[in-house]
Amino acid sequence: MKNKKAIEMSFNWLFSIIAGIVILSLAIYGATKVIDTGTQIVSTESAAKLTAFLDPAQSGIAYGQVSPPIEFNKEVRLEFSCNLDDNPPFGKQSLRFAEESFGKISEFSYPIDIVNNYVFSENVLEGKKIYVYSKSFNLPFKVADMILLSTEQYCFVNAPRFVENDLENLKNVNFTNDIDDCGDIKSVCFQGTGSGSTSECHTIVKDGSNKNLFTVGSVEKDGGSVYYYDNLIYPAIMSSEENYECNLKRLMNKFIVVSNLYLDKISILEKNGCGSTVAGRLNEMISAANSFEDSLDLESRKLVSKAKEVERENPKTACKLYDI
Amino acid sequence: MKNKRGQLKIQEMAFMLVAVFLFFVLAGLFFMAVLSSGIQKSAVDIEMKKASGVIANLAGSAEFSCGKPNCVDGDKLVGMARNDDYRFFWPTFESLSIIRESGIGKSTGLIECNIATYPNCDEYVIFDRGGNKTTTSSFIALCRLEKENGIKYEKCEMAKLEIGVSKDEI
Repeated sequence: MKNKKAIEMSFNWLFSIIAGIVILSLAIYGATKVIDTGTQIVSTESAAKLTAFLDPAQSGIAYGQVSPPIEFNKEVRLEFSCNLDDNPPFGKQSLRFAEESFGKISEFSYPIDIVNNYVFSENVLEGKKIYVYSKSFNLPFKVADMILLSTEQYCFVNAPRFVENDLENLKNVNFTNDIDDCGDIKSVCFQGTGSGSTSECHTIVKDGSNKNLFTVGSVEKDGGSVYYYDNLIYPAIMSSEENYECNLKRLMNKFIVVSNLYLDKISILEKNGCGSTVAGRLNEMISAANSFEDSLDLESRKLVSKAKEVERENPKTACKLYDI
Repeated sequence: MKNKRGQLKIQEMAFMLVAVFLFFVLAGLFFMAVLSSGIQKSAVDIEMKKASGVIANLAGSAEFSCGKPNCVDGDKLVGMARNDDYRFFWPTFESLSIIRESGIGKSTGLIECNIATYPNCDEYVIFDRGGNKTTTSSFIALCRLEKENGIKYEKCEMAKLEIGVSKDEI
């Protein structure tokens, strides 16, 4: 027999090696899948916890308060989407969560629905610290609490006094009267009558009251423009146009539902001899809200002016309809 | 003879591999069962804790608030009773109701509040999805407009805000 220097291997060995490779491969594949699923479960849990935290009813973060920022040990990414068709008549938002794992951001979690809250933010938030601020949306009675989330630093130029007072404890907002102080920070310029040039500003807040009150007006940024009224000034500055317009429509849907509760209340009050002149205005506002398309309709459909009329009439009626 | 011994060894090894595989599958299933039963229990516990926290703040929401802390507007609440819009507005609750002073302690014969029965009623049922639930409650002030001898005034009474949390959450 000629020696071909080949390795002689029995069938048992060959079988063991092949079976071993198959079993090891399956085990490694399974372990990787389990780790991936585990990461996604943890991310989904984090998203759910965050959603619960953002519920003013659950955490008490609302009522015009600056809450402590939400801090994470790792870099996180939050993605918000808004949908008007699901969960009628209120619509809903969805939150997906991802966090840094082994130096890169993991896959997004499964979406967690936000059905009874209004979270205003950019479409995607990234960072270790999320700043939280909340304000109520009143038209003129309280309709809902708005929650603002941001990770960026802002530099407010020539902001009116009420804005400074409202946001003085929000750590990611600085105030100045000179845009040169802002440096690389996102500048938000308040353009009232007599204010200077705003050409270098990232965001321009325009006053629509003509008295530098900034109670109504518009916010221009990233080539787009949205209309604000009252407390909506903050979400208009800090959220994306898509998020702002969608959440505003959700708020209008909520306004219609809450207004109908007040109409029921008016009929009960009338039984007690408390006539109300507010009902007619409220019905007009409901029909305007029903055909609400975007933030410009706050002005064009006279929602703001009618809300002001209701606000004026409410204390004069025999029985007050609401107390804020 | 040598071939037969080889075949026997292969059979032994195959049986062994199948046995090892089945052992790990069964162990895995057992582990998952233990884990999921724990998850279910802790989920219900968390929901209960969350519900207790919610009650304290719910009275301040736009639908309930009478404008004062921990106070619910009874006249506004009538329109919310069995209102389909609110059936799924609080997805974590299985039921939500407010029991007036006259109904506290009663288990049967409670008169539901609606436009027809108000104010001579015991309970506002905002919604009840009818699932298997456990309840938690807290006391609130329930205020409404009252007229007596031609004088209108705000009458407040004690009431119980009750939330049902699903037992079949997961």
